[in-house]
Amino acid sequence: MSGKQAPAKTTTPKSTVNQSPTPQAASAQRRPGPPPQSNSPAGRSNVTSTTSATKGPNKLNSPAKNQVAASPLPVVKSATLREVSENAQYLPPNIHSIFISSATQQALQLSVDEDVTQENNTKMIDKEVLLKDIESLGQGSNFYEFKEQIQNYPENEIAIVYDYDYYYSQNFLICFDPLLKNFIANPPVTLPIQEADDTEQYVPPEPKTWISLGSEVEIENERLITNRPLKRFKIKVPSRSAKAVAPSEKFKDVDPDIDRKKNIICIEQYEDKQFDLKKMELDSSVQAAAEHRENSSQTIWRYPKNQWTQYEARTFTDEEQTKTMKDEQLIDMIMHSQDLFKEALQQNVIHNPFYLDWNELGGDLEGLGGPGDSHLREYQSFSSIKQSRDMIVTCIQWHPTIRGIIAVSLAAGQSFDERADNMSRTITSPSLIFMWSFVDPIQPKLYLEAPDDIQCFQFSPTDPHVIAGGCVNGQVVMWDIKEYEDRIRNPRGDHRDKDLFIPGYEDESFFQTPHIRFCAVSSIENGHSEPITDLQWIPDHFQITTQGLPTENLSMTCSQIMTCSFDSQVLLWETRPPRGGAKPLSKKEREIINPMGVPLTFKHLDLTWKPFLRLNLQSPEAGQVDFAPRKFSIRETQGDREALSKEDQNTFEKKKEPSGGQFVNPVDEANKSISQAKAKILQKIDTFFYVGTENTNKIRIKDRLYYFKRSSPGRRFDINRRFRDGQLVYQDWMPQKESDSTKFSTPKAAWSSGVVDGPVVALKRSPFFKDVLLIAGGWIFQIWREKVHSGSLLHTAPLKEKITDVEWSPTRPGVFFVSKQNGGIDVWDLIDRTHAPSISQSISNTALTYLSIKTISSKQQLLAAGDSNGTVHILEIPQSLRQPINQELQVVTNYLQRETERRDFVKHRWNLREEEKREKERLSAMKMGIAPSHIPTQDEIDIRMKNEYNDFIQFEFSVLQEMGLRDENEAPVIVPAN
Amino acid sequence: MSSTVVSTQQAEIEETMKRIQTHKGVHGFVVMSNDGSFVRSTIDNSTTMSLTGLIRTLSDKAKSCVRDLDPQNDLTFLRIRTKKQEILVAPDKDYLTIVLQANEQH
Repeated sequence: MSGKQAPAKTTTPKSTVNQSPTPQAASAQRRPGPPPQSNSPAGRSNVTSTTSATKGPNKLNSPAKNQVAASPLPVVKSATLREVSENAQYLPPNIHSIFISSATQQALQLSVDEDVTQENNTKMIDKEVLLKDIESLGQGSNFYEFKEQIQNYPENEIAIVYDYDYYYSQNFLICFDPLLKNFIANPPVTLPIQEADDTEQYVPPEPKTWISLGSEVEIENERLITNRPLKRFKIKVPSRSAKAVAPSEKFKDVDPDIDRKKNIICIEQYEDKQFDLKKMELDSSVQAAAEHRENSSQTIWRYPKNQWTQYEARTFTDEEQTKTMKDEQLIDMIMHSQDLFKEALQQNVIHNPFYLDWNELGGDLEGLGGPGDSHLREYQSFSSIKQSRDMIVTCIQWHPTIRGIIAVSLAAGQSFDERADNMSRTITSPSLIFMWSFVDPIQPKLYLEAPDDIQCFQFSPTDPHVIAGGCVNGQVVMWDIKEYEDRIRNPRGDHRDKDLFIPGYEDESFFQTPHIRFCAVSSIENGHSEPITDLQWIPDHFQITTQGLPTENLSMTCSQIMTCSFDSQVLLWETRPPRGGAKPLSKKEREIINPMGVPLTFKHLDLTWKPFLRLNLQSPEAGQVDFAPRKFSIRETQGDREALSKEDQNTFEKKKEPSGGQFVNPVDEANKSISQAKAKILQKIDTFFYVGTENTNKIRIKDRLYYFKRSSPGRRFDINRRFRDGQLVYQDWMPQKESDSTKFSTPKAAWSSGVVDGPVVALKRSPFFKDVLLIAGGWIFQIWREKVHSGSLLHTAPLKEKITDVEWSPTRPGVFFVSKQNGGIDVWDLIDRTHAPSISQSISNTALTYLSIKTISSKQQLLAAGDSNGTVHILEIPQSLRQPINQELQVVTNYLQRETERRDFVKHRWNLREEEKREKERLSAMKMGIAPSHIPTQDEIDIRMKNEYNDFIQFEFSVLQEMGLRDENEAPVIVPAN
Repeated sequence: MSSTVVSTQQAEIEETMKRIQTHKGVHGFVVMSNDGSFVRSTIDNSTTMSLTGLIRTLSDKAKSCVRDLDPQNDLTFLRIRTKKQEILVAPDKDYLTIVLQANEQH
């Protein structure tokens, strides 16, 4: 509000003088048209306040002048005589100053301050009255001197004007001019009319030079200059809500005395003593608030422009180069710098500058840690109270994709006889594979039902919901758990999640672990006739044809299974339906066929499934029992694409669908059949594989000795092996044409040798070296290199306990785990020592039966160990056994290389010995030839005895060597024959 | 007389260059003038271009550094040891020689 007033103040600083705020009035007065009489004394005396505005702009703002203008009389109140006389001469000719005595005043009714006043100063007197006064008083009359003029005055009335201030020397003025009289009588009325007349004849005033009279200073002083921005206030009256404005309550008058007790609280007046106190001191404060300011600035935007510069590097032309090359300075420089370079380069040769100490330092630090850091720590254990009793763990497999899921197969720990006895009895509980989740160690997620005890099984690497298992009765079993994948994946122990159901309406079946029936079993006649001991899916990058040729796998999924059994057979199975396979069934048919709700994924295989390739492992020597395979190992591994050409690898990776898998329930999708069109034969894939056997040949020690005596030293070692229980067989799976017929049959083993003193329990390839095998059986284990058949790279002295399984570490090339009959695990570290385990730890009080390792994350690696009590122990691998130490791969590679070279050397020595022996025989034959009937002399007897002794020494040495008590590089001490 | 001396010396230079190049691990030899253009190089053109441009400024900088520290001193040789290779630089008044020695493991 004040803001609105403020401009008015500033814009009209001079309005106080004008006193005419309306613009109309102002504009009317703006035409000054100074009246001619404005400067005349008569005009001045009679001018009223309204005329004051016409006095010119120069004097307008002076308050003193203002007052003069307001007053009808001159400003000089007490004029001196001289001044009076001066003033009198300004009187117009027909006006005279006159003194009228108080008596005359009374007579003429002109009494000062009664009839005439300062304001009302004019009075009209009759001529007759004045003449009468002159007659009666004669010379004494005040009007005597004007007798003639009065008489001559044409009109009847004469104007008398009261001079209040004696301005013109006397107290009255008398007018003898009728025109002036008229003017005096009606001064205010006539003026505006005159003025209007004047404006019509308005002549613009001539410009005059302005003379400073000090007014500009006054104006300057009066001027209001804004030296700060105007303040703005925004006052907001809080709006009342409609409710507050019009409350619903209605008020009425009540008498407080009557209704006092009816909920009326009346606060009565009283005198507050507090207010008697006089406030003597006042605390007050003022807060200066910062002015609110809004600023903005504009910056110049320089728009981006693409600019470039092209330049050309300076080069010498050929001529210049040759010229410069001749420059002596250049020659000097090069000759001089040559030594410097030489020095630097030689230094670098002596000391490798690219060796970073910091990098090497880190690796060693990893190995450090407390004593607890290097031991296997029990992470979890799974054991079913009901089903695990008296069962042994036969196989453990980690789920390939879902974390924290582990499948365990259990079998009755019965001997062959017990089993045979129980054959006829009804089996009350089916053989099961347990699917455990780390979330719930009490109840398994799934049970997989099998027709008989499962010895081995494996998830399909490309279709993790498909599981193939090998039975004790020789059948291959297939499961499809696709429908239950969600249940496995569900991290919660859902069977205890009672919140899912309304109390009283629990679905009991939901909480129970489902039993899943197998999808298919192989036909009994065409399968194995002995328990299946090993089973493996063929890796997805190749497939094997019925001719045994490895070809490209165009479907890029694992579909073939390889199994082995005691019945000296290795079988290859195809899981895909044959070309133009089973036609899809209608829903009704399906229900009839499928009363158990089993997925129809492998319906086409059920009970009619035959292996497409059969390998019979014959004994190399006629008359001996055929090999009884326990374990096998092929060179190719899942995920290893080396066998494919580079081009194929790319297409392979491209084609690879993440959701892949051809094993679909035919309900969902039409069957995919084998597409072998254009499948190239992969030359790089090695069709040879190793088989670990159980030798049923029992040869007496005596026979062994016999063989030894008959054979050459080189062969002896071999023979020594042949009588071992666990043999290692190198076998080609490609059938070959028999020489005498067109039939194809499995070729004889390329090589075989008894290597361990018990049935082979494990045959595993190193994850780092494709050609390095770890074989275990009986009480020993050995490391072999593929195609180096003269002996093992590493063999141990027999352990005190039987070995049950071995497992390589997936991250450390030199580390493997050995499980033993007494429930202990030995950790071998080839870098640490090769004659004894680095760590030996007891895990279970019963025999361990199976080991399976899985890398969960870069920080965690778990080893699952099954024991013969049906329990699976999950052990966490300590960091020292998980993290490869600095250059471990290199060190282990070197070690294995060294050992391979040693084998070559040993072979070389064998040949030498053979030669020696032949030479000796030749010599003895010569001796015999020279004196055949000669009675042996003492020397001859000595030689023979020495030879025999040497033979014995060599035999003893070879035995000791086999037991690991002698190094092979040592040569037996041979007594010279002569 | 002097021309024969020069020609013999030139042959000697070629010999020297060859000797340095056959040294173990050496895979580049560049002779350049101080205005940035190279006289002789055994590696490909673009690499030489970038190498000469960058190394020259570095060696100038190193030279000025050495001289600032002690005005009577001068830079004679510069070895830049990197993860993959070692760059040996021999600066002179008008010319500059660079030898690259690579880590054989890379």
